[in-house]
Amino acid sequence: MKISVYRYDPDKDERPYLKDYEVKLEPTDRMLLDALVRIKMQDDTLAFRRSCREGVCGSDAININGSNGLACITKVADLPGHVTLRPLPGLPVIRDLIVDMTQFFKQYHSIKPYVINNDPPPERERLQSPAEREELNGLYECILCACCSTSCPSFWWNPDKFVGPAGLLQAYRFIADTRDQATSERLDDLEDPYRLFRCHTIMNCVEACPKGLNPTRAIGKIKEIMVKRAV
Amino acid sequence: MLPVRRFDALVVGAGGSGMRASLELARANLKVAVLTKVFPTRSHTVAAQGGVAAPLANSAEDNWHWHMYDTVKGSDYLGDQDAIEYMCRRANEVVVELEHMGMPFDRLENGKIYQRPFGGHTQDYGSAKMAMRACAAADRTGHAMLHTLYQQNVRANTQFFVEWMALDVIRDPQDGAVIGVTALEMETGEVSIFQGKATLFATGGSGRMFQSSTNAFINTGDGLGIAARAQRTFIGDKSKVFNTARIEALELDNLVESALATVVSAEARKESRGAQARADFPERDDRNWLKHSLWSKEGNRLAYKPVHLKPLTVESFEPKLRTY
Repeated sequence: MKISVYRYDPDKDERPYLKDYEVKLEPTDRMLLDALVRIKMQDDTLAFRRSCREGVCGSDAININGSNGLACITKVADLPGHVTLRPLPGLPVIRDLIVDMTQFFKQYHSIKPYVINNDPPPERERLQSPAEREELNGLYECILCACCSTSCPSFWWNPDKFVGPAGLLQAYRFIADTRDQATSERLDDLEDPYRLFRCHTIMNCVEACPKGLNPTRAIGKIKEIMVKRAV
Repeated sequence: MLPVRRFDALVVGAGGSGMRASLELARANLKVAVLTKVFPTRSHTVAAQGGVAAPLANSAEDNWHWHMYDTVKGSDYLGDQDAIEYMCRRANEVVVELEHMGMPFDRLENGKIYQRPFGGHTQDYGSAKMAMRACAAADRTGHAMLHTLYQQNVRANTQFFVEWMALDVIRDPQDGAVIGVTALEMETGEVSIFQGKATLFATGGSGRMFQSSTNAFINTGDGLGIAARAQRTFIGDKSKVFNTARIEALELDNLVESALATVVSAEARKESRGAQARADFPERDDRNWLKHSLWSKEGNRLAYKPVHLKPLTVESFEPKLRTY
């Protein structure tokens, strides 16, 4: 298998370049991450993030032949013989496939990603019906890999002002939670030409999400609630 | 001179334990630093699936005594019973607290936390009747828990040092007390000193020592290795910026220490107990081996300490044959 990898070490390289590797895969190497580990055995200067190797920690998001995805759950069998790997687009590159995710997490933090409930907590759990809990499905499963936000042209242009699909999906996760009391405060915060309304329903986020989540739908729900409260 | 950063408390590791501790410290208005080699929600807690045990009795009769019995038995009687009693008595409170923090547990029709049966959870001290004790969020309980804890730490303004790898403990030259750690900022390759009145290691396991493991790549026993550091491994990559080869060499050091401790302790233990299964010593031997192994790097020595068989308030669970 031939893999071209984006390489850049600010200590040594004036500019980034693609380096070609010929990788001999063993029968047990089933995922793209296995191939990256093979490359690392030939060349320990290649830097990339990885941890859980099963698609739940969200650290090995990269751009694979032009599409964002997680290396650890991308099957090599599904890839062509020549693969080009680049860092996630739109974020500053620290080194090789490692991007600086500061801006991404800043936007996540900006939506107050925690349940706000100022009532004194009861002795036991707060009650929530299965139907109410169901509302959180498709939202809380986000792994913060940034595949969605870094595939979004609106986030590329305004990463400092537009919350981006990942942050907005989480904004709706807390709006949808019956235990949260801060809905109107959350809507006020998002009612802004940039924070929410830079979403132009391009839907790259939906295609990119390795967990099958749908940020565009969540953004639509937020807009719907906003309209309802205005009339 | 290395730059020095001072805090009231240091927590090394941002998994479930580290972040629950840092949350408590931050809420007490202490200046707390959490050092973590991966972004907090990438910690291995995220991969836990099935559930978290608490005898809430939402679906079937349960109590902390039964939970305690199962836990002592699950440890094959090598668990300290005072610690196990403490954990089981507090389990309900801790799970309810996670719910109040926003953890998205699945729900029963009556709105309470959904609980399911799980291996080793029994009613009535090991009877054939299963307890319903595992509180679950689909098959991603650990993900739900880890993200909730991170979210609450964001709210409490905990100071995270993300992608900082702890290297070694620093000890007071007079009395030997731990006064902090050295840590490597992975992005720049710079080392700093972190001083704390208290330092807590919540660095997880060392499952990567085994050739076959479902553990994350990061489970390299760093906290264990830090206690007994070896010479640095030689590496080809000299770059300062995000030198992952250097990180892996540090991890390998830690892993080797953990593996050595495991192999030496296991070889010396002439019995089978819990997950330790020896073909040459197939039986559990309480007369000689009802004790904890303590390995030290210096001289590759083993020492032992007794198991705390006496709980805090209840009768001891005396060792008996462990069958399921």
